[in-house]
Amino acid sequence: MRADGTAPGPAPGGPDPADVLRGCARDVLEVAEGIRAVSERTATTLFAPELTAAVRRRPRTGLAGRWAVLRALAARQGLGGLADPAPRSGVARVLGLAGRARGGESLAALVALTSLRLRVAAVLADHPELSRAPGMRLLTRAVTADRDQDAVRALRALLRDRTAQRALSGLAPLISELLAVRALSDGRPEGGGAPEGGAEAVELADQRRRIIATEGSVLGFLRNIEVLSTDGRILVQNVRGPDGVVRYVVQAPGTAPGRPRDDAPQDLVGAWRDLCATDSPYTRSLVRALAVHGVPRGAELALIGHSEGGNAVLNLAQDEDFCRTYRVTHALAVGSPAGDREPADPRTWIATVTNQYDLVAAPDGLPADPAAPGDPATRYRVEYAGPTREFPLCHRLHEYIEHLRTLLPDARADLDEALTPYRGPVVRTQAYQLKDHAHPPAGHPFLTLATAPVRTTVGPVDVPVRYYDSAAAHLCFPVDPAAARSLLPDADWLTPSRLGPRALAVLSVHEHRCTTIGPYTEIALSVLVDDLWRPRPYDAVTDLLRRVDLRRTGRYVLSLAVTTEAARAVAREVWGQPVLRMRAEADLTGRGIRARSEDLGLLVEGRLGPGVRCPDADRALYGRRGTGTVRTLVRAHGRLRLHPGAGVRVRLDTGAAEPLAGQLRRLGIDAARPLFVLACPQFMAHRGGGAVLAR
Amino acid sequence: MVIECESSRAGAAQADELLVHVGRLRADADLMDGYARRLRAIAATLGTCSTAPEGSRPALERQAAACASAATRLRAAAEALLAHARADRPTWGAMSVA
Repeated sequence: MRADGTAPGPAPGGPDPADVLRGCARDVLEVAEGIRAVSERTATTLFAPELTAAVRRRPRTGLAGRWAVLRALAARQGLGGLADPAPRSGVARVLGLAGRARGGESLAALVALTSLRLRVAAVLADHPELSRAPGMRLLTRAVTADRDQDAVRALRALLRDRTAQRALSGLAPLISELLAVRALSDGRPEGGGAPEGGAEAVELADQRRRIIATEGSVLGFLRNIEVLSTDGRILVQNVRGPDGVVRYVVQAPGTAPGRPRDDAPQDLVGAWRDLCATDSPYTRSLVRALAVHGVPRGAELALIGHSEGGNAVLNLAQDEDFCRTYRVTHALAVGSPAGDREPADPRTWIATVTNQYDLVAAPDGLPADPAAPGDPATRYRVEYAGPTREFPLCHRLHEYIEHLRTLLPDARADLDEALTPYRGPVVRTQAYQLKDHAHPPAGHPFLTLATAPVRTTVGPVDVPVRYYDSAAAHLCFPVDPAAARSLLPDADWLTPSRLGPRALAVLSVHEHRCTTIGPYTEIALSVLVDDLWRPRPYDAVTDLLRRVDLRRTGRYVLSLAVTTEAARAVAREVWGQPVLRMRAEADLTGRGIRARSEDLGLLVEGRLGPGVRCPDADRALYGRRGTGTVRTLVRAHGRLRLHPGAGVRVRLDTGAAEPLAGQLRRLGIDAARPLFVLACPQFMAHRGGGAVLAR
Repeated sequence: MVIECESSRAGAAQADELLVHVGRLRADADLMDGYARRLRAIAATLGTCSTAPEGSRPALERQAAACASAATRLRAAAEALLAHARADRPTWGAMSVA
């Protein structure tokens, strides 16, 4: 459904506007690439040795000729310079960089930018829900700069920002355009160097191991992939078939927007390379995992993958060397663009399962060409429409599994029948962590931590929980200490810290774009409290000079609202905080900040004034579990700034007393401006497990 | 005498190379004119599209104008190079490049 309430699709009597925009975007991109080629040829002429020699012989006409070629290449009202000065050297490079320094951009880059704007509009016309995605917001902000030249520069900076790439990787339908624009404006190769990959055997946590299928079936294999989540692990299972032969099933997961990709060779460029090349870090890592697993040469394999994992397994099925080493009998890709790829071994049975609303599998929202090549005896395509249309929800493996289970029983039966040689007891299961030796892990070194799984109702969660890309605004209000005390649990050892005659309440808004428990938004109300055992008058001040783990004071969380079930479960079960799942959205990345929760009736908005840098917002948070107090340490790393609170306001638009609203009223901050705001548009953080204190 | 002949042959070869560049510049100028027309046509198509992003049509018009301007400059560069090639080897007289 579009923002105006109409369903996506063609208007009566006319073409679908999104189709028009897509077609225009394609045409404009073709023109941009043509202009780039013209610029390259003109540069070749300018620096041609024969022209240099001729200039030496007849300087008067030679210099005039060269000057004319230079003007054709570098004039702003024209080609605007070289699209790609980077790989050249000498005069060409100096000319290109000088052009950029005086504010110019090549015509090719500007035209490519227009193509990207059209493509973004086409995607948003069909999928307005994507406008809320962090990557789309970053992208929209970059491409809507006042001047086209500024937009190209902002886009170039965005595409170089490794942290932003995590958010951008959620924009599957735009990845090809983004990379094309990057190539036109930056000249960087798409490949990014020789692919590397590795794999090492790892143990699965007990809770995960119990869920792993012990019998071969298509739903079992897909559920295994779901259990692996997307933290760079794959699974290899040995299955004894009905004929007693042991065969091998490789199960490869794919992307999950908003989750980090620790150590795994699955980044934005890697994802793109997987679409095109049989040799990528992911495929290399898969090959390495099979070698470590001890799969004998000539053994029969079934390759099953979702999203990028599906791409990788289809690429392996195309790889002649791989198919000479192993006999790939089946390849199944779910939620992956199948294209018209042909397997290296013509006997390989290839199946694809695609929801046509899944923008990763069908970037233009169109079903695959039914006339695509392939022997019907070795090709099996399942293409269906919905019912999940919202992206990225429709791309999740869980949705595909549910659709195969409930909506597509015939397709499931066909897939199971085809996989009959693999339908038997699993005799060995081994997970492998894929490694990208060429790059440090995400968030290194701050987030390079030892972790341990903790059981929760939503499955095991690795603790510390790591936040790779977050934004926050902490609105700090001086409040009446008696009012603050009245909101704390009824225990005389829990007292609000005083700053002079007042206590301090903090309304924190977080936008977590990429975390190990998935992306979510968080709104929390807390009160600064004294040491639980030996409160001292000036602890709140002296603690500002202490490391977070040595602090005596902390913030007691009165109320917490989060937007996902995983975040709710972790906050309640690991950190002991009073949490509710609510709808909320926040945009905290610019000078103007805005957070809104319809469920809470809360709106925080305003403009941050000038700020000063201050130390990172490490903090100790308190919650309650049973009769104990749970203390959680949060460490953050970013560029926190202290701003006056005059430009920011809290508005409460609800008569409800709970949750949060009543507490805000009792503290007198339901329509107040904060004294100051601590804000950080981008930071990393980790939250450890909660330590239970006997208080 | 031999050195003069060789020098003359090398100069002729270089002048021939220059003519190749002249031909390429002219072909590219035609291409740029074609791109200008194509961008204007796309801008016109977007005029009928209600969801076209604001500013995309003027941007395409600007870029089409830049393409046309680039075509003019490329032709001027081709003419300047041709004049130089003629001056470098006057025996060509009224030679022209296709």
